Amino acid sequence: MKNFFLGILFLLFSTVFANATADDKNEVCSGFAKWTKDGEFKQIRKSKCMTENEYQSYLNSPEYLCNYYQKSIWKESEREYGKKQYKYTEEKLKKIKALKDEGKALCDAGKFKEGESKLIEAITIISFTMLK
Amino acid sequence: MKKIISFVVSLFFLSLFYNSVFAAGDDENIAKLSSFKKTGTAAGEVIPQNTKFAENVKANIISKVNLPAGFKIELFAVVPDARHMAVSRNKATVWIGTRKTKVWQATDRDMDNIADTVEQFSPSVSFDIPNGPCYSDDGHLYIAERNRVLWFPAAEYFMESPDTVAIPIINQGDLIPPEEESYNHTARVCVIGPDNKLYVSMGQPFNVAGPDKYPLYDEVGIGGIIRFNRFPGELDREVVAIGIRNSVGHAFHPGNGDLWFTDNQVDGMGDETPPGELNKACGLGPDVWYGHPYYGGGNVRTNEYKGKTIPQAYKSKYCKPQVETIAHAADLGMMFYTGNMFPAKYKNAIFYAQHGSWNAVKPRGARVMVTFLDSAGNAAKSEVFADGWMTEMGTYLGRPVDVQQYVDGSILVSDDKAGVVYRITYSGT
Repeated sequence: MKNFFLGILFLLFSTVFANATADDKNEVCSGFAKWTKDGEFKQIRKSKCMTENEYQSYLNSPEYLCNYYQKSIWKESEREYGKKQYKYTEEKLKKIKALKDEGKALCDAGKFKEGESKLIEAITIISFTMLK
Repeated sequence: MKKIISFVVSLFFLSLFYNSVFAAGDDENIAKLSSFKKTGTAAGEVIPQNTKFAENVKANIISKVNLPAGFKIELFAVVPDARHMAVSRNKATVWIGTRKTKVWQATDRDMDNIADTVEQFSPSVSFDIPNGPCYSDDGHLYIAERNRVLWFPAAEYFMESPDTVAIPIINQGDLIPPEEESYNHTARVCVIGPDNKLYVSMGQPFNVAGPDKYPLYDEVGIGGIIRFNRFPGELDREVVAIGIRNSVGHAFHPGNGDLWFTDNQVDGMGDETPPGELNKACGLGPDVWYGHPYYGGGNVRTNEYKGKTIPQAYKSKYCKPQVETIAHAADLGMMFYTGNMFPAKYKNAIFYAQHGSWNAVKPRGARVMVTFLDSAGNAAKSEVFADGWMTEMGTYLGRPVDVQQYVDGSILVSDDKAGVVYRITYSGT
């Protein structure tokens, strides 16, 4: 009887371990490489990977949109490449930054919905700014 | 013979007309070209084909592409910045647009269905984002630029010279108001419709434009599709679709004449939302609305317009997408397959390129999709046709932009990352 239970426990443990391993191997990666003029394929940015489970946790976390919107605002209005893409005025950039900071503070305080609203206000200013 | 004489005579009168219309300056070369005069421009750039680069593409990219059984992919041409393509009627030349300042012509000279030469097309013209070439059944090439549409009559025959007859159908600055010009979302595409008119898609220059922009945009066709006569004279310009965010691919169903188009959707809403779109026009006219800016893709409302009531004028004419594609895949160029090389199930199916995401944690796209239609002409099933341009580590080996049928029934796929055009054939073995 004892052996039977041990066997069941072993099978259960093996299944859980196998699933975890499979999920760990099913990775979501993001990297960047490009061709050079002399025909070399060169890695520009190292790949960053997360498991599929980690990706799902990232998508389903309560602070997901808070984090996503902040990153999006940074990409589009603070990062040099993003800033260059839009016909921003200094006034607009200041307003966007202020709304982002307000949104971040609310998100950090666990007020996710309120934080998201502030961040959406910032994103709306970006969206309504003409692309170059 | 009679047709040739009448064609030459009409070109002669056109040249007189354009001589009187054009001023010198920026338009000087165009004025000369439209009058059958030399500009003195030197021959354009030639892209070497048999290079280490080409061998690397074969070894490092083409070998990684996955296709259904019986299909094969090979290198058709090395073409820097290759975007949308137009295939000629008689000479098997392919014109390839770019988002920069050049148009390329890739020609199979020895009739093995692989380009032997890739040369700069019409170097005497100063192109501005000449993304969209299209070719008519009666032998006319059109190139839709950011803010001009040019006509190249008999391009197949004039193409060997740097001076190719070129006549504006829409003059510089008249496609859209110049103050609405942008770099992003201005990769135009064109196609000749069953009504023999030229159709041009025009993206709107925002992520999501504010409400103040829409009276003008709906009137001009920005964030929409327009059509007009494709020969000089009365333009008869009309807006045939509005409510589109940024369509960079369209084609007419070869059987029933339905207009289909892809639409790139809104950024900044989430990694997995909103979906991209493949649409079938519910009609051709300014009243048919495709959802933007109130919808960000599919039935997902944009954050920017979420609390706003959709105006009745839009709501009553809303045409839903036929296919919702994965978010941020960037569905671009498309075509209907009409050839005889591929298995019968692909007849009249839609092939379209997914350029791939730039703003999602989980990279996606970089593949060619196929959508099969049902007997009523609606989308029935979509599946991946070709992938492998993205590595498991999320690195793009290539980014497909456009899919066009070649003269032998194979299909060509352009890639603006690798800077090449691929050819996909079916042998069944």
